[in-house]
Amino acid sequence: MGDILFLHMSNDPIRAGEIVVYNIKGRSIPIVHRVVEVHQRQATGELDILTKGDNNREDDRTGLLYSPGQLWLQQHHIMGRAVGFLPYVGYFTIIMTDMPILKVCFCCPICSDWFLGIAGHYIKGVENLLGSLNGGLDK
Amino acid sequence: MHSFGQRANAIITFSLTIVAVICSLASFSDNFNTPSPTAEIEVSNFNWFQKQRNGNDEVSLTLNISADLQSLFTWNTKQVFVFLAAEYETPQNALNQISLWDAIIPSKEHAKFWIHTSNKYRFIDQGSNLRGKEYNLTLHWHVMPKTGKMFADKIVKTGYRLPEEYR
Repeated sequence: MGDILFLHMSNDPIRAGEIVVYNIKGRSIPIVHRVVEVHQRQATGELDILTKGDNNREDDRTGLLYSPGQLWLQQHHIMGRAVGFLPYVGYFTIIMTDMPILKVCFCCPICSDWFLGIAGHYIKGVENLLGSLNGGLDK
Repeated sequence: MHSFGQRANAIITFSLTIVAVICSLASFSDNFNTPSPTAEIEVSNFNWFQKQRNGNDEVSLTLNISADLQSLFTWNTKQVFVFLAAEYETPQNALNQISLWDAIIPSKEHAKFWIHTSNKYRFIDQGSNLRGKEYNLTLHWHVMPKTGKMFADKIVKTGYRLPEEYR
């Protein structure tokens, strides 16, 4: 938890082993699971896809993650593939979601001003950093 | 001369920039690794082979899988996800990929293994096409980094064939 996942979507057909993000109609949270089965039609190239979380014993159909009666995902259900990841960085977002009071705090004029200031200072800070490096080389 | 805020800001900026650079370098260093994995896969037995009531063929088999995936691990590797898929073609489907077994390899020490197991996940066709079917067994692996880009590759073993008759 708290990891940031980088997603990428291309039109290449989904293949077994890929980690995909999909949404089921009526469910609020997208699911990030691995593809365990693919069946590709001869004529149309349409895909039937089955997914499963690595740590789950059952696939997502048996685990009742799909809509009732839905046996497979299709390519259009897939929002993206996971291609890389940064650990722990997402904790900031999780903290904001779990403690809404912080969102209010951040939005109040003093704090938001402070945050915008920090952003501006970050940019200035990087410029200073580069400046001092170049300055050091000149001397 | 410099306020506390200015100093704190300078330190935080510097730290975040360094962290971002280190993560990128860590991820980039994985490109210098040239893996040389090996695997042998044998189907030692067909336990049973039936047509289900809904008309789909299902087969249960026992596998011997031996592999050496140690060369996949770098210092930036968190774990390796490995799975074995049966791949075949039918009149209806240009490609069928069915995962039969998988495992998570948490470290280099565990990456050289031999396993004797029946299929972890069910091998069920869309239809009744499996009698006498020729298929490939492909060992796939996905390298999960501590930070950065994920790598995936596979070894394809061909020449397997399912029994002609149900049993």
